[in-house]
Amino acid sequence: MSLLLAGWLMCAGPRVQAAEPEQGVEVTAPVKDEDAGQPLAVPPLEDPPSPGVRAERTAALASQLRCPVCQGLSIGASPSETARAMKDRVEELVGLGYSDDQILDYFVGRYGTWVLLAPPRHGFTWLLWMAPAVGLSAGLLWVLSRARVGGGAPAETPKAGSSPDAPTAVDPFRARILAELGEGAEEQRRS
Amino acid sequence: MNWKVLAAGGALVLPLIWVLNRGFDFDPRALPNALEGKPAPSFALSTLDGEPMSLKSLEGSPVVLNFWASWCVPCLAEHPTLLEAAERYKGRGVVFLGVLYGDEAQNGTDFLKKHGAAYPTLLDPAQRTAIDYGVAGVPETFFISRTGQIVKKVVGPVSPGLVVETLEALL
Repeated sequence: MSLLLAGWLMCAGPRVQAAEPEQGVEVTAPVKDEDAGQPLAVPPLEDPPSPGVRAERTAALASQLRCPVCQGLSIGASPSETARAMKDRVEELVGLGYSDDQILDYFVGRYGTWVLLAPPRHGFTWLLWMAPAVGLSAGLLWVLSRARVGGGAPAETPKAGSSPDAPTAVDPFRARILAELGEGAEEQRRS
Repeated sequence: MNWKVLAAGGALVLPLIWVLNRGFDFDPRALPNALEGKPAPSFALSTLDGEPMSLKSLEGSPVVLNFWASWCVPCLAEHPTLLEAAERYKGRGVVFLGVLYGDEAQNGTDFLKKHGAAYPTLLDPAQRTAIDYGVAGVPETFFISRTGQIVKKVVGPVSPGLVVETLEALL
């Protein structure tokens, strides 16, 4: 079966190039919706948008849908004939007044959630969306807990070293500095 | 202290192992059969000979819908299987239909002249029907029940055994 699938995939590949030259002839004609009537089982939710909005929404939707013949590219980014046909279909559905969700549902209903470039935010793939937040907060908590321990540590070190004889180790220098400062201050006052 | 490190490591690694283990169940290249068990999308197309043909007009008969192209090598490989099955099941009311995918009508006609034809092939302008069926490449074959439900989708060339088994279950 995997051999057959490999053969099929090889088949899907070359067509992208093979189909290229006739693209201009075949696909540029806008898809008219005559005999099909309602293209989806449900009626459109919205009013048909203006041409500008239509192009904008088509581009936005096309960037969310995976091209089936060139996996990893969106149908907006792929030059293949299939991607172009799918984009035409998106534009047609947008023009009929279907909402973004309705259109994405249409493609998911045919190609499965696989067709969505972003994994759905529920079910198993919801974990993918949560992972960065969970990882970040776990890291933050860890850093904070370390920082608290670390913040305590420097304060503790002198304490640990503050045995009764510690002042004597520090004092000669301190006394000298204070003495010199005092002398300097007095000299200044005199002059 | 050691058990703490061990617990922290386990807490980090075990979910990862679980996710990766789940990943073994997925074939990222496998195409989902989202339409299996769903009603077959309707279509009204014309054949290579210019005859109109709609799915609605075939209600009551099991339908084998095969998306193919003349440039597709696996399609050529499965062609004899489909011809033979079409001949064999013609008397029992099964309708075989081809849909030309990403190809010129002339190439399709030439292919059928050269390799034989036992059933009509439809032209699918702008790949409308292919998208409705979620076709991602050729060949793909859909087995549609008498009531218009897609009972099986086969990606890649069909085998004689699979065709017979699926159709016997449908009849």
